[in-house]
Amino acid sequence: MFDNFDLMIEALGAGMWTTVWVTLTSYAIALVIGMVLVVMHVSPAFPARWAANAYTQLFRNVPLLAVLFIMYFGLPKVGIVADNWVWALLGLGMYTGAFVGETMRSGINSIPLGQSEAARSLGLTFGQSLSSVILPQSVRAVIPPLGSLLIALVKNSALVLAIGVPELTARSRRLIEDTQSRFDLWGVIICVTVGYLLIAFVLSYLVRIAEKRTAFVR
Amino acid sequence: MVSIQGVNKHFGNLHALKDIDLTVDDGEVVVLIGPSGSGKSTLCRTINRLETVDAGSITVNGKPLPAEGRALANLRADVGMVFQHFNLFAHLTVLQNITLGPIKVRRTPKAKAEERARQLLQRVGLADKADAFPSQLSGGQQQRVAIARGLAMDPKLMMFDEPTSALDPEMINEVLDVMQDLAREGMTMVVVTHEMGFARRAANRVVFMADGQIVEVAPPDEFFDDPKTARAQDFLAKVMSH
Repeated sequence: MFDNFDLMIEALGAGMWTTVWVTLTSYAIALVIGMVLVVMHVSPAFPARWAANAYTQLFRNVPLLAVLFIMYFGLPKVGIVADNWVWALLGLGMYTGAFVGETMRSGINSIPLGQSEAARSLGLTFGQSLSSVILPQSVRAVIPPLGSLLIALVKNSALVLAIGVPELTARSRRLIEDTQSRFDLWGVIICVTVGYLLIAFVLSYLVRIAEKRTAFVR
Repeated sequence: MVSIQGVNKHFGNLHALKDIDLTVDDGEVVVLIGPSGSGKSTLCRTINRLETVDAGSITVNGKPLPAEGRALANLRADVGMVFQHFNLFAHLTVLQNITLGPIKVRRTPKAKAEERARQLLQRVGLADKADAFPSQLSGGQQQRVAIARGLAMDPKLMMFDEPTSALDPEMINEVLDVMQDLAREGMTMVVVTHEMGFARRAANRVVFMADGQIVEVAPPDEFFDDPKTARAQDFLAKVMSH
């Protein structure tokens, strides 16, 4: 079943590495976007709230594959040219960012109104009360769902194979379609599955640690 | 210190504040009493613009209340607020709760802010609780921390919005004692409360509200011994019957 095992592991290992860094980089982008969105969502300025809502509706309701196609095939037609890597990271990041924003927003909404009233009463500005009082308290509530988004992103990252990024699933397809038929289908499937599980387990573990680190007495 | 003129406020169909005129002088303790839903908490919250008003003007220290923004934040820094449900920051220790405002708003150096915070904790009788989290304190202790948090900003005015209403009976006095000391020291205070004993002892003026209106304003002895309006007589008969 595991014919040419070393060749297979070499190819899949490279794919796994690509999956990991594509996932982590686009997740970092998603976190930044989500943070910006949530500040806009709760901002007193109407245009900011409107723009955040428009972004969220757009990226949440268009399939990720369509987002990637629009970026990779569509944008060059209007003169915006970039590597497929760039579109992969931006597509995954911007798509996931919409979900991160909504997750963080629900975290903020879970904090009693009295906390922000007390903060404002002390003379803290909108930004200060958000950064010193509201966000630190919401972090703990949103870490588990943010962890779920991270795991979902690991799997969603497989879609970037459609724009030619050689991540884990793309590599496995190459092995399965090997012109010399050197690899067994089930062998590849098992190795790929183990690869994704390994990534997910490690990331889940890190999320658990983050959850414990942010715990506070209540 | 505070001048409220012709203030009106609606919550949907409810006319919560009707043509309110009220001034609070420097060093004065004004106690707002009245039945639930009479608008006393709403009135209190309009003074630092936690509630906006539909009409009328409010000035604090001679300056009209600014719109939301830095100027309003500066004004709020000078007006301490104590809430019914304490609203201590749940993720911060007692000491951090008290120093947050001075450090972030007043730019006080951390060491100095902490020194002052410990003095204030001493004053409210909680010197040993500096490193506790709010959830580890009783309601009365939390409210005393909230008072210390307000005082740490060196406010020109302290407002108390039903500070003892969420407390168990045996904890009410520890909070009222702190408030009474403050009043005695000359702090300008606006207090919304159902504690008639406190109103009588600490107030310079009692403001009686009902149905969104100020019905009667009088010194406490006069108000409690000889209320002029039927509405106030009725209210006092109900709350004093036990």
